[in-house]
Amino acid sequence: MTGYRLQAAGCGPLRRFCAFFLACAVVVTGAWAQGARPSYVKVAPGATPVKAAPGQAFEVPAKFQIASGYHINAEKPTFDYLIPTRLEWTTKDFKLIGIEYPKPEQATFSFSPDTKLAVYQGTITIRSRFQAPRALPGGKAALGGKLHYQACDDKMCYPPASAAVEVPVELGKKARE
Amino acid sequence: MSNDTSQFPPQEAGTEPSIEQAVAGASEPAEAEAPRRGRPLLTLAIILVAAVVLIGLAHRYASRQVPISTGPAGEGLGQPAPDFMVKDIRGNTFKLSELKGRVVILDFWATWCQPCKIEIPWFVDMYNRYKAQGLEVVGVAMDDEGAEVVKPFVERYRMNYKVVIGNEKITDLFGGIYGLPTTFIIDREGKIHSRHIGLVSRETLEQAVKKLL
Repeated sequence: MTGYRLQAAGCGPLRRFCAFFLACAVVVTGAWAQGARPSYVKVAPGATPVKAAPGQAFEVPAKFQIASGYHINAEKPTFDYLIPTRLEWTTKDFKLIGIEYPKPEQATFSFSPDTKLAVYQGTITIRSRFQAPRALPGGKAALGGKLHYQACDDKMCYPPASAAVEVPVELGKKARE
Repeated sequence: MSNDTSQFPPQEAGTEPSIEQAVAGASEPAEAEAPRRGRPLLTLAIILVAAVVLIGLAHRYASRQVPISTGPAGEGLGQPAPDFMVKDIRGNTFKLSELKGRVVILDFWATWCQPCKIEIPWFVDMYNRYKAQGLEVVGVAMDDEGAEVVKPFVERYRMNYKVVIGNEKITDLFGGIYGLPTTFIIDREGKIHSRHIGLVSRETLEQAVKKLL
């Protein structure tokens, strides 16, 4: 019994240590491994599922946060050689009607003091319009997409990257009738 | 909505499990009641050890996450520049070591990089002025599309120096390049004299070159 007690006394904290260490190590090293290609844009938190009526058009606002001190080019950049920001939806269940990008800021930077560049900074919302199907198995689906962008700060630019976005959609009851 | 798994540059708080979460474990047998008195200290010690290790990892991560500073950077300076062999935009083979004996501006850039575009006319001018004294300029274009997009750009901006198509193998040789422009100045012995990360002044670059000519 004493042996069991000793084992139990030592095993608990050891297990906790292992669990804690492993959990934290996964978080830290995972982030570290991706440090080579950091993401300058992420989906803004707090999005709620979008509700759609069967067969009807509906709007999907996708909100993105651009890291402070960075900017990304507008959908229509000032120069043709700059990489535009583009939202690409990959879902097949819904018909894409159109995408409305926000109005860009006209900003100058240390590398472009005399020419204003059309850019996005801070938080932006890109609104997409879809046509809902007449029926959907289970009444639920997710719209998946990617925001393609190329970020710069005041002195340098970073390789083109993308941020994944997923929006849950709930189709109204009538859809299944 | 969900984001991809990439790390957002400003580190967000709360990504690590809380201590409460970490120490919340399965229930213990009743017999283990007595030894449990010594456990808070042991648990605390374990958590402290884990915290130290994690802080170390986080510090290492943070230093890699933001490897960029403006101006000459110290890492690799005075060391031989890594040699590499690539194709230039005309399809000819280029080897960096062939330029040994000359001062080299090695500029990592891309057509989509607006700050890079500021430096290009400086390099064009510097090459014209110092070529006879032994300066070479090599532009390493990091465009994924390669020569197809780089060649028209080179013609449009009348880039009179050698432009090659870069890749990640080359940037890795130079310790990783996370942003453009990044410029290395290499002396006549083939050693890295300075590294300039991001847009710096023409004066900074020219002075570094003139010192070596």
